Amino acid sequence: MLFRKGDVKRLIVRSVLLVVLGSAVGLVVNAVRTRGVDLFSYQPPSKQTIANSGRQTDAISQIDLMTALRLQKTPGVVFVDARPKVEFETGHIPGAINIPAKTFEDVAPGLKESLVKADKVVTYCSDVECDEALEVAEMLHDLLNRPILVFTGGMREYQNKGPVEK
Amino acid sequence: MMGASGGNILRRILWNRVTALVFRMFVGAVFVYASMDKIVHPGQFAQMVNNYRIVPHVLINLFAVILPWIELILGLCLILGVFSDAASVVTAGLLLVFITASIVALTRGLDISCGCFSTSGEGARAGWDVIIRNVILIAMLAQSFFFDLGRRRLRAGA
Repeated sequence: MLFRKGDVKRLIVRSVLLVVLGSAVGLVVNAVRTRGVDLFSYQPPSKQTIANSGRQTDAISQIDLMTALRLQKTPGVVFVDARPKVEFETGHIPGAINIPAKTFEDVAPGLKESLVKADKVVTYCSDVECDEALEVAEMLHDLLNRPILVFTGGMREYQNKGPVEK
Repeated sequence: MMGASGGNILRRILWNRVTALVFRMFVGAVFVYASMDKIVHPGQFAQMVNNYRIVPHVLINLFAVILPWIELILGLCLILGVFSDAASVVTAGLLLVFITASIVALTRGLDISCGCFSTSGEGARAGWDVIIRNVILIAMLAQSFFFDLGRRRLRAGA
């Protein structure tokens, strides 16, 4: 037999000990250091940027699911899917155009004309946890110099309530 | 084609005390090095963790504070030979987690920095090279773990 009973028990106890020791040291150091991080309140940079910039109310505003569903049926509203292409192809809001945050600089300029003509531009990504919708909204605002809406619930909230295009 | 004697030589090189020691210390040094920048910049490392979109936001900072210190402790244990059996197992487990995260990033089409050694965002991308590197590190750990286990068996039997 490869392992004896005592070996496995010792291995488990030691493994737990190492993980607990590392975690404890990390927590203590974070507590005493002057620039320690708040353990349970992570904020993505884009949300921090918007919150701190004061642009939330005019340039970039957030919309909920009901508004997104209403706008989806409204002519002249362009939805911008900020997820990577692979995720976009698995299903997106009908008529949405794909401008992934990572390739914004390459993709967005080519679509500028249709975005300028749109009555409203709405960005979204996968769910409330993702950051791309806000990142793309900020970049679109800089590119188009117009208000941008962000559907924060994203595809996860939308997919069971409205039509999905593939 | 490698003959029987060639195979024996390779086996002798791979299955000996010095190789096991070098492999264990090498992986330990990699982990100590990997932990440094993350320990100094936990906030930036949290951003790296967030980019994978696997850990819930509420746990990202906790994860970013704890993980580098676990890496440091594991690395030191591997280098110094303290609890090296358990350190090898936990380190291999962590490497498997990193491999899984890289595969998830690949399948999602995410072009992100792996956050392996640097929090600057300019390091290696999460992709196949990171996966292959981690598989090699796991193989090195397996060699040293099973060689040491075999030696302990021999000592216990003697």
